[in-house]
Amino acid sequence: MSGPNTLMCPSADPDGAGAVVFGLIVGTPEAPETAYLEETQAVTPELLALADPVAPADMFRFGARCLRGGCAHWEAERAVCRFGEKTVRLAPAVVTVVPTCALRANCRWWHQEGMAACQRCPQVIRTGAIGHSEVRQAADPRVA
Amino acid sequence: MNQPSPACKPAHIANTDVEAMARQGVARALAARQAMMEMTPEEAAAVGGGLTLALAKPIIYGGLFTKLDVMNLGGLSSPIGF
Repeated sequence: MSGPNTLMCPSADPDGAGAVVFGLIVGTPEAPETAYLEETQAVTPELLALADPVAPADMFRFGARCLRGGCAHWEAERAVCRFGEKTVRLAPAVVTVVPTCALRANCRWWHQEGMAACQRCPQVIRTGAIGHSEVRQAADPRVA
Repeated sequence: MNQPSPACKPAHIANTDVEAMARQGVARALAARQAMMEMTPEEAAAVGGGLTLALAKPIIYGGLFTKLDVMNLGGLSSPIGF
């Protein structure tokens, strides 16, 4: 059972605490989307090497321990991840069927936003310069 | 807000297929990188209220974070009139 301090960020770096892979980015350069793994997979040098020469986050979706106050997206007063909140507010739902996701049980966004986050999650790409403009906005801590 | 069509189902992949799919995905990722748009200092200023920040990485997503370098504080004025 996940407690509030053990939840995972679904848009993490591979070097985050407890990082795992839960998705692979597929689709097209114009419309990338996440293909969800049946089970989370350990981050290994061999797996990261598969992304060469691009960044691992261009290729994979990583989950890692939510840093709460150590992250620019954390709003301590309400104890919420504003990135997840803004993704639901700004980005369109892209799926009607919620993905079978190996991270969900421990996912910060799921616990905070519910199914609305899962309907938008496939379009989230951590490498902020690519992907969907609404997600880029949601990912920018300077955007309210 | 537009709703996705009922046909919009999420993609899934078997763990055993990760390596093969990742190899196919390199071309997509490279093409995306080549087409990416970075924020110019002017665009950053427009969303940052006049305080221009240069991010050591393109955009801060979840996870932490990199050092923010303050590039231009010259436009700031004191609200209390020093």
